[in-house]
Amino acid sequence: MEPYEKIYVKPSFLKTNHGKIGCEVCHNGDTKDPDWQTAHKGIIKDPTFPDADKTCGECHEDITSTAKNSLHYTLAPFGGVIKARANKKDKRVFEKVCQAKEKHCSACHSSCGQCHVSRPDYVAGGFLAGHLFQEKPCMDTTCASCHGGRVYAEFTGANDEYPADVHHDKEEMTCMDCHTGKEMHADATGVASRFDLPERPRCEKCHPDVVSKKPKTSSHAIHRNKVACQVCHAVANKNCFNCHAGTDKKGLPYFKSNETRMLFKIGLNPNKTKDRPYNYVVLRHPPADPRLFDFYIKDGLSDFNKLPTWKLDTPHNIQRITPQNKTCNNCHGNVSLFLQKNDVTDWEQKANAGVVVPQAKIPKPLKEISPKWKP
Amino acid sequence: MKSLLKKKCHRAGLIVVFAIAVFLGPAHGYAKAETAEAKSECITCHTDVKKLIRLGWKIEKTRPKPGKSAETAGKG
Ligand code: HEC
Ligand code: HEC
Ligand code: HEC
Ligand code: HEC
Ligand code: HEC
Ligand code: HEC
Ligand code: HEC
Repeated sequence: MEPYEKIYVKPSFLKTNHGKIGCEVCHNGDTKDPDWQTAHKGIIKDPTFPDADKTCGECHEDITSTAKNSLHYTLAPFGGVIKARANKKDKRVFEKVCQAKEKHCSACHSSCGQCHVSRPDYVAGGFLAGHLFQEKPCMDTTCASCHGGRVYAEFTGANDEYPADVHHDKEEMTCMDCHTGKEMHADATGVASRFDLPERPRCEKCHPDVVSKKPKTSSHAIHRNKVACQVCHAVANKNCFNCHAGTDKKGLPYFKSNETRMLFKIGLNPNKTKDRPYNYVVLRHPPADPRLFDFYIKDGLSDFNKLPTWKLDTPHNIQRITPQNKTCNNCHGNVSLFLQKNDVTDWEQKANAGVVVPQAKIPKPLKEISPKWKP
Repeated sequence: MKSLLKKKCHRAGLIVVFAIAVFLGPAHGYAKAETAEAKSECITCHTDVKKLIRLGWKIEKTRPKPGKSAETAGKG
């Protein structure tokens, strides 16, 4: 993108609902001053963060009033997880951890403007289309700017050797076909994790046969409330190890994860709920590490083991047929698919005791369950 | 439907605000055509491609930096 394109306002914008509102109403600045440098004194680059009430809220109050508490605005679960792992006994250390968290996590929030008007700050901004407000954010620019490394890569098949999601490949769906505006703007007050948001999409909403009285596929009747859909229908996800964060010479935050591995590991569900009653889910090792913030403060995450480091995941590379569901016994009795003690480093054993699958819980080869079942 | 009605109500509210704003003279409000007609240096400049290209890198220097360092490696 050329520097000028980032800030060039298309004349057609001026004729739209939003373009008819004076620039200064949203951005401040002096409309009478022909010197660009002084005219920008007191300018507000993003009038929609942290508070869109006085701009968008004037006309879209219904959306603004909930979106300000959405996960994209608050990123509250990040804070919750870091706090759980942090050294809370030593106040000075805890404060340093909070500062590091602010530095690294706040760069990832989104706002009305960063989804509907400009590219996210995370990729240095610039208009999506000459300031025209986009009703549907663009998947390849907007969502991919922040979700590009993992979800978007899985969804579009950018991970070598692993196919794109069937919904992308065959149905040409985008993120927004499943993640609606209602979800993006949802109030997430009190929600501990993005996996608990009531507005999140559910496979069974679009595939009701799977949860019907007599599903067409008998395997659905056997497994549906015990095994998450992705355990049979997703392929490998991206796992990160040895992540650490720091600040470069220019004062910009960076993170480095020394090792990424494509893996497929089934584990026990660490957090069963009414909406997620499964005993088995797909797991992923996120870039969590006890030395994550060592650059800022040693021993900052002394309660690291309070939460597992192999965490619930819902990979976005859904297939009808996967290596593990080709035959029943590709999964039943296949120890290598299930997270085992020896997949977990020594220092992580305690944290993951609840998700590692003990020998007795690996589903037995079918002939051992009953002669009735033929693989 | 309900939210649509609500939105309409808000727009009605805005028309009132707009009317008051016009009545009080040149004040900030959701003044429509007025802002476009009363010359706005913001609009003049931001719709002038040539001018923006000329200012190009000077402006780029003042812009907020990307939220991540070039040293970032690996994927979250
Ligand atoms: C003066 C009232 C007003 C304000 C302020 C306002 N909008 Fe709108 N917006 C509208 C109207 C009118 C529509 C047309 C759609 C409709 O009829 O519901 C609209 C539509 C939209 C749409 C759908 C796409 C389109 O252009 O039709 C988006 C997205 C949007 N607004 C975002 C925003 C954001 C973000 C802000 C704050 C920066 C904002 N709006 C501020 C009045 C407003
Ligand atoms: C209804 C509120 C509203 C009005 C009116 C408005 N803008 Fe914006 N503008 C926004 C939002 C929201 C953004 C996105 C900010 C972000 O994501 O950081 C934005 C972004 C910008 C940017 C930064 C683009 C970038 O990504 O770096 C410029 C420059 C800009 N607007 C200029 C103008 C000019 C000139 C006018 C008048 C013609 C104007 N704006 C009118 C809401 C508005
Ligand atoms: C500026 C960066 C950014 C942009 C742009 C962005 N996201 Fe996110 N998104 C995040 C972060 C960070 C989280 C994690 C929030 C959490 O777990 O607390 C998240 C969480 C989510 C979630 C789970 C939580 C929820 O609210 O449903 C979904 C789904 C999602 N994003 C989809 C999208 C889609 C679709 C788009 C494009 C329209 C998009 N995101 C654009 C950064 C971004
Ligand atoms: C076919 C439907 C579908 C499509 C298309 C889709 N998602 Fe999802 N997404 C889901 C489901 C289902 C979940 C899991 C919800 C749950 O069980 O908590 C999910 C979860 C998420 C999450 C939270 C979990 C995580 O992995 O961090 C994010 C973020 C997300 N999606 C982003 C995206 C983005 C970005 C796109 C487009 C590139 C996209 N999704 C496309 C259905 C979809
Ligand atoms: C994470 C990205 C994201 C953020 C942040 C976001 N939106 Fe949206 N918005 C969406 C998506 C996705 C849709 C649905 C697009 C579709 O499917 O047509 C949408 C739709 C809309 C629409 C048009 C349809 C409707 O629901 O009435 C308006 C208006 C709107 N958003 C305003 C806002 C405002 C105002 C804010 C800030 C308070 C905001 N959005 C923040 C992603 C976002
Ligand atoms: C927004 C609706 C929607 C959601 C949510 C959704 N799907 Fe789909 N899915 C479709 C559509 C539409 C198709 C193509 C038509 C069909 O085969 O039913 C499809 C196709 C599929 C197929 C391929 C079927 C075939 O015969 O080739 C599989 C497998 C699948 N979905 C699994 C899932 C899983 C697992 C989830 C949750 C992670 C999910 N879907 C979420 C709409 C959805
Ligand atoms: C990707 C893994 C996977 C595949 C493929 C799979 N299963 Fe299972 N199956 C499981 C798991 C895990 C359980 C244990 C569920 C529980 O008890 O919570 C299970 C349980 C069962 C049970 C109940 C066992 C008992 O002890 O009560 C039967 C029967 C069964 N599966 C039959 C099949 C058949 C038949 C197929 C092939 C059509 C099949 N499974 C394919 C993972 C799989």
